[in-house]
Amino acid sequence: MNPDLVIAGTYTNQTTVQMLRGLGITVVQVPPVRTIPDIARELRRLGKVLGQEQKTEALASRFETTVQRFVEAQPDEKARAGVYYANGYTAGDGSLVNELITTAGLQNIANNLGLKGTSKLPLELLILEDPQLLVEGTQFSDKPALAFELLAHPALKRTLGNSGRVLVEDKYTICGLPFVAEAIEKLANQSKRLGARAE
Amino acid sequence: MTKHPDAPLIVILSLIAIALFLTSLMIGAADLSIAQLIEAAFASEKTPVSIVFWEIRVPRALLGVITGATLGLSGAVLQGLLRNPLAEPGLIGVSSSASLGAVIAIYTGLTITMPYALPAFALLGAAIAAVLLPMLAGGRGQTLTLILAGVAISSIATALTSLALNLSPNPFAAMEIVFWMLGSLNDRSMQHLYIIAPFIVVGWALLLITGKGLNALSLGEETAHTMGVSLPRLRFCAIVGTAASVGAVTAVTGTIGFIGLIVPHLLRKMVGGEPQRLLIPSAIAGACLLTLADITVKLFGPQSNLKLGVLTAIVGAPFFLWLIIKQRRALI
Repeated sequence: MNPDLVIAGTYTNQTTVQMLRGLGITVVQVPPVRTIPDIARELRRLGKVLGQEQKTEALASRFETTVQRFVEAQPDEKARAGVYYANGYTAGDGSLVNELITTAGLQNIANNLGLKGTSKLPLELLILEDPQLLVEGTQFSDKPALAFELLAHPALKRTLGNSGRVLVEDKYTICGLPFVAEAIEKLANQSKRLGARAE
Repeated sequence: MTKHPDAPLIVILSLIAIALFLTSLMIGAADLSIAQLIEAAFASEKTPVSIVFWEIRVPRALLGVITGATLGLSGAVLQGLLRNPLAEPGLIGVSSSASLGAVIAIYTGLTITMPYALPAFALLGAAIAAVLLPMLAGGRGQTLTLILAGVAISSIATALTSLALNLSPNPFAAMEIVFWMLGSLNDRSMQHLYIIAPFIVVGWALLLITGKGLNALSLGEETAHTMGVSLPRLRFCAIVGTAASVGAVTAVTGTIGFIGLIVPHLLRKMVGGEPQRLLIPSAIAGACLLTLADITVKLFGPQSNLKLGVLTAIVGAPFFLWLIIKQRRALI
């Protein structure tokens, strides 16, 4: 197909990348985005490569303004939120979902426990942190598995009550693009709701 | 009160069981002091510690006791019924068939609308295995054919369980094969206990009334018959009792082996070899052994993800080998 430009991930096979470069093709490698500032930065970089700097600059700065608005709206007293996925995995510092949670004005309990990235969090430890909000991911199938049974554990139900759960679809936590603002807004609404109840 | 010959043994075993139960409550993923736990246990309002205590630790410890008692008791009954010292729900395929029933009930989504489908399907699986086994193994309780038939039933049930989990469209199901084969008490809840409770009660009652019949049966089928024991009724109680109780516990803990094999052997000499006198001590000792195994699992820590069945097999399998060697010597 003789492309002029190939956009590859940083985890794309290095041999392939070297081969493409050897053929004289420009290869741009994009790292997986794990922070909010990265989103705007990578967008601008790609814009430069593609010669679409105006468009990406508009996108990036609009995203930055939106994020700034969320940061300014953060309450002083931050509600405790925990990420809980199938089989009892949580996500802390170094994950995109953690960025979304903290930007939305919530505190991520994984950080209080010193858990970085995606790690296992025993149910007992989660309960003892007394989360007010549980951030859940997409369930991959409507067919049941024990992996998801944990999320229906009575201990969690008693801790969270009826309204303490929020779904953040995997597309927001895997792809670092400006549309993650939608997820931040969802979380910020929860933050506001929990803050209002505390007063 | 009439003096029961095994009263001291039962009292001692019960005290050990209570001590192990309390120890199990104190150990968990979170480091909580005894004072914190006692305070939370009797607190009037809910606190995070009281939720951990009542919703996580208590159900797990209770389930350990119930599962161990079920496996010990059914092991003692099966050994009496089949007149074979190697009979045990795990080895003869009852546990793995119960697992298969439970897997079908859960992964088809049936349990979402009908929670009782879980123990009911497990009972059905266990009952099929328990009925098939004597048919395959033939009468007279020959050790070799019994074990072979058990291995065959186990293999089929295990293979079908793996197949069912691999066919599930849920990507997590295939990973859960490990749970169903090796068993665990991790993160089970009071809801599981409520669902299986009726099956456990009926199963235990049926198993406990087999005592007299098993005593008579130990003298031979004909003698038992002349003593007025109805063999079909005895078989019915033992098989349905095992299927109901072992089926129910397996439905929420997965397959846990060897408890039912080890416990009756350890106690047989102490109760004078009478099958009836073996039943209650086997149940209590089973509870002790399983709780001890679960405490060990918990001490390894939550990150180790060690399965309970691994531990019981490490202790149980060498014991099983030793029994086989002993049996072989007796044959020669």
